[in-house]
Amino acid sequence: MTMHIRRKKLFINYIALFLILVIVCPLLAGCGASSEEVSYSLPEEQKLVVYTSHKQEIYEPIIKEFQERTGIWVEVISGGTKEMLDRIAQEADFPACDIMFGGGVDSLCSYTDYFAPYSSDVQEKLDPTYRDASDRYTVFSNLPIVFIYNKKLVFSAGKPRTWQELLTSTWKDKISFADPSRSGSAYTALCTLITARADALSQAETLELFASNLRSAGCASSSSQVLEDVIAGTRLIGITTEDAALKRIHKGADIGIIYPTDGTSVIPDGTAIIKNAPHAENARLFLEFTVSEDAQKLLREKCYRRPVRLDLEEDDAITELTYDLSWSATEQASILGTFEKALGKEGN
Amino acid sequence: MHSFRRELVISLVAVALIPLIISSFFLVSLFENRLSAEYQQQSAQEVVQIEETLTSFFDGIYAAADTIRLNSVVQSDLAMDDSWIRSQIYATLYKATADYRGKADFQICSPEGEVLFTTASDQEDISYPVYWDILKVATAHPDTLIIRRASEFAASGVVLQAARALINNEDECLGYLVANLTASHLSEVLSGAYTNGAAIVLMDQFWEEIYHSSSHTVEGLGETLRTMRMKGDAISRKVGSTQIYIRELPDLHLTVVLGRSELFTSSIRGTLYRMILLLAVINLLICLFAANVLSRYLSAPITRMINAMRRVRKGDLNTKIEVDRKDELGQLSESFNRMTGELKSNLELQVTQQQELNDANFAMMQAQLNPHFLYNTLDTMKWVAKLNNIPEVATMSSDLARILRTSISEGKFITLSQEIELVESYVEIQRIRFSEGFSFDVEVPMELEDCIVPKLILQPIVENAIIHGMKDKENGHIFLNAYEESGILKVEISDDGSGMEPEMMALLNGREHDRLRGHIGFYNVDTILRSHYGEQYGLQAEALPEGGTKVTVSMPVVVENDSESKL
Repeated sequence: MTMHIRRKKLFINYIALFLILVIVCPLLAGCGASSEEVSYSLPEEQKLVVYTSHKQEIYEPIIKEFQERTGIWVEVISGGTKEMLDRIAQEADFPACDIMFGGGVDSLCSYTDYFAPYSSDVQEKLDPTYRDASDRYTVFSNLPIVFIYNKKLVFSAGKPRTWQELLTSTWKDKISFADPSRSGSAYTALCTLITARADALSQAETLELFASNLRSAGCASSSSQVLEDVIAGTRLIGITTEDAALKRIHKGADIGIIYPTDGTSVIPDGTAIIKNAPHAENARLFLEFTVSEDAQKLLREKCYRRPVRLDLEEDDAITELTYDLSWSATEQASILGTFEKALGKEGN
Repeated sequence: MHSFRRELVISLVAVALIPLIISSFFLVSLFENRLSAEYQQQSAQEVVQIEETLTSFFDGIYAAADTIRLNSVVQSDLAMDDSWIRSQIYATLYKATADYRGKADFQICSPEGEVLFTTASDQEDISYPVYWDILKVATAHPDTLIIRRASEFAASGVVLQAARALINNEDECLGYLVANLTASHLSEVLSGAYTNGAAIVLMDQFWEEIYHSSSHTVEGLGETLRTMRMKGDAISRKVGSTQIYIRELPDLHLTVVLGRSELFTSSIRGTLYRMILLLAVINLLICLFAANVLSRYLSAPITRMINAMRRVRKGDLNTKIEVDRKDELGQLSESFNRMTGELKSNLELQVTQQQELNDANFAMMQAQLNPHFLYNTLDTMKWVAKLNNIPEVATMSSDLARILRTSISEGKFITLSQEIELVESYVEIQRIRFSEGFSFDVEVPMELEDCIVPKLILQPIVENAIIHGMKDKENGHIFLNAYEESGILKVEISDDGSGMEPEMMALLNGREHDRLRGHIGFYNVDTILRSHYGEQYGLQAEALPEGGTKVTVSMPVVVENDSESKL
């Protein structure tokens, strides 16, 4: 019995020792470390998260300037239009992103559920052609679909001037056209072609004729491949967006741009504030900045893009062809299906 | 057998190991913290140096811009396409920037942002938007050199730009001086500003990386830090295995990060911990050894003592423990030895006493051997005397038998009346023995007859009165009187004889029993009464004035029931 008690006492002593050590040790360790940690926290109201499908040469100057003018820290996550929009749809319950910067309005219009309506302060100064009815996105830059031709190989007088000409056998196997199932701009071009020929030909006939001109050579893998094809002379003409062509011309490529005289579509890309955005106020500031005079001017002068601001729009040779975005969205599967079938008809 | 060795080992190990381990870990972390703090301190100094270097570099460019803008040729017409003027302006540009040309390329732009003059070897056709970025700020602040991370519009390879508007005395913008710094320019500018072991990352105020030195320790560090800051993660002194020091330089719109691969790498820490472990093991072994030695040193004498005690328990009182030490255990062993010695002598004494007791018992048993034979003989004597008509003999033998029976009977106490009877029998015999006649009277109150008194307590007194008092006296008288006085039974035996010698009386009353030896009867009675009832009882003698002696026996009045419980 006494032994037991003594053992217990001993045990209590050990526990006491242990406790003392436990208390003393951190104190000692604390003496070793000087506690002058600088915290670099960033208030939430100074943050903005941007998802963008623009190329870096577009978003980088805009975002850099936005940061420097406002002091707001911007986190940029870039990727393909569809990738970014799907990500926004996935995160709809807990949005990680504040604003979607980029993406053709034809793509944006099928995701309007995830966007918050916002009407820009300068809305009346913006090109109203593709304005969303409830302002769930705001246009950013106009991207006309144009033809390009290799100046060395195509005699200026003989270059195609209309969509109609592209369907003739003259250009059989000489056109570079990106796969419309992969490239948004190629699908826009396909829709433009159908619209341009709508009074003469049915949708299926247009697609069949166009496919027959591409059939044996096939489609280019991407829109940048179209430029490479034409610059290298592998193909004589190509269909692409104006800014891509201008950029290469500026860099010295010997290619020419043709604005189809029977009209071409000018589908703008846009900017959309995400519904329940964590930094909605900053998102609005950013959106205003994208349509500001400086930014729009920069677009024209440095990015080879057409501003959407009416006060900056230049009067030029473009005959604008408009089509219904909802039509192109709903018909996408059937148009692509018909086109693919037509392409594969005689094998390649 | 359970031993305290286990406790000893645990205590020793605890005392030796826990402080060792704790202090070792503490030292390691202290060392680590110290190194990190030292690094931070060193870095702080280096960053000051870097800031100074950059500031003086940009101050130089600022001054160069002043030289250029105040040049009369520049002031006249910058854009004039005249080769002489152009060469004059070029000369000015080269002269003004001579000290910095290895560290940057310089451009002079038109007020519209178009590059007109450049010191760069490859001539790119470049223009900067004046409503945008660096030139916009430069226009707004002509008195400041604007430093910015290079934008997309700068020449390829340029990472940092510094620009200043060239303003003439009429506040008109003549154009801009733009300094373009590539990564190699920056490393040239920064060389010598920080120690070789460190790596540097230069970021703008939004922590976007501008430049990092060619060290893999800081590769991607800028982006990592920016991501951490955007996410709100705490940025400590260490990112991955790189020690970092961050310093924002708001005047330059730059952020400097110094990185250094950690000195205290995990392999070094591992070595240290292995060392601690090894030390702990060695310590443990020493502890076990010490515990063993100590416990043997402590437990050996105790074990010896336990064994000795076991032997003592079995009866071996000759057991002795060898005492070879003077400490507590030695003292304990010595005490043990002394104790067993005392125990032994005590036991021997007890044995002797027991033997003596046995002898007495033996004698008593021998004495008790034949009382019945004595009674019967006395009875026979009585009847023989009656038959032969010798009444004295018959009386004597029957009295003697009665005395004998009473004295040999079991109990030590009898009633007062029985005692009186016994005394009377004795007196009868004595009266026959002594031819001189004496009378004997008894006066006992009825209520005292049942008092309990020790056996044969009055007989020796009466005997003394007969033998000493009635000596040489005829017709003597002995009177026995019992009475109660405040709970004390008093029996007086008085005679009218020759009286007691005074010195004898003094001895009796003074209770100097040792010298009462001649009167064994008195001595015994007094001793019995005192030892049985207490010191205040006993015998008291006094000389009577008319001659003779009175002896008073005093004892408490005890009636039968009480006495039984008392016995």
